[in-house]
Amino acid sequence: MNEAADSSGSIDRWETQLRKGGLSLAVLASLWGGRLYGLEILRRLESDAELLVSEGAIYPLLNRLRGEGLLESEWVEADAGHPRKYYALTLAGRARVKAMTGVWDGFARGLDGLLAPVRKEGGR
Amino acid sequence: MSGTDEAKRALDAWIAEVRAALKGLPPGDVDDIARELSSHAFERAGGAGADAVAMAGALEALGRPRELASLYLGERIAERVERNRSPWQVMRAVWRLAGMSADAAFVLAVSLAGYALALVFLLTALAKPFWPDRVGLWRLPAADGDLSVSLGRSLHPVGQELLGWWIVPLGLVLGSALAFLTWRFGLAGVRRLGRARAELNTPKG
Repeated sequence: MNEAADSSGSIDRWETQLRKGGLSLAVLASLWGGRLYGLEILRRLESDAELLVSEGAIYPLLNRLRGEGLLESEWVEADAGHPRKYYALTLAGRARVKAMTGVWDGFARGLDGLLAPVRKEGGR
Repeated sequence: MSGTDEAKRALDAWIAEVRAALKGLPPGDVDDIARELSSHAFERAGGAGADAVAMAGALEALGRPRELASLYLGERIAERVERNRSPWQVMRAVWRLAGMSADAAFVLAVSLAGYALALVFLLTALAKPFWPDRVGLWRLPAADGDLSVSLGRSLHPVGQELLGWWIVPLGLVLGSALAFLTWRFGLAGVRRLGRARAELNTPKG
């Protein structure tokens, strides 16, 4: 039983690391269709990618991506009664998303080849 | 006092804590961060009619002010180091991060030890030509009969020198290599520890 719990914990940690590794790409990709503000990005990540990001941590990450020139931001006075800070991809950001997507696809394709026998065995 | 007033007071107090913890960032950046976090909490709590309970939930979801501020500061420190990777800047960054986490304090301790040992090797190599009989790698007879090794300037004339003049090239090479490795270790530490530590929760089915 302990072994099963250890195995489950290891899988959880591995999955967390995997998701962390893809977080920058996920945030950038969430903005591919147009500008969003922080809370919208969080909701998009959750609904489209099942990525639950701790709310406070998303803003330093957005700050970094903006500092790297991948995002631009602007304050917009919203009808909701408070201003919202919207983020959008810059040209460099769009190029980065394309490049990262290419790397991701290549990695996934390569891994799929290795995993095919595992899936076949697992499906029996 | 109404629930809405209580919610506003809780938000103001939380933002004031974030501002205090962001000390060191440019005031314009602090204002921008405070405005964005306020906007997030306000909307997350339900907007203009938010009550104290909803606001408490929104602030809890954002995290503790000091921890949240450390993410911003860590990002800024890592960003500065990417612009200037000199050993001095890296050590400054490690020093600043050391106050934020135990991991960073460990990186600081290892960096200080690494540079101290590198300095001893280099100074020994450079001083050898001036004090050839007193500078080098020495094996010293200890009081209890065991042997100890001392690197640098021997205070015990009865000690036996182990390397002779070889200490000059060895000290220069080892000291430089150790300083370089310590610098790389510090740089890797700043990159790893300074970057936003966005924690993800895996949804369970």
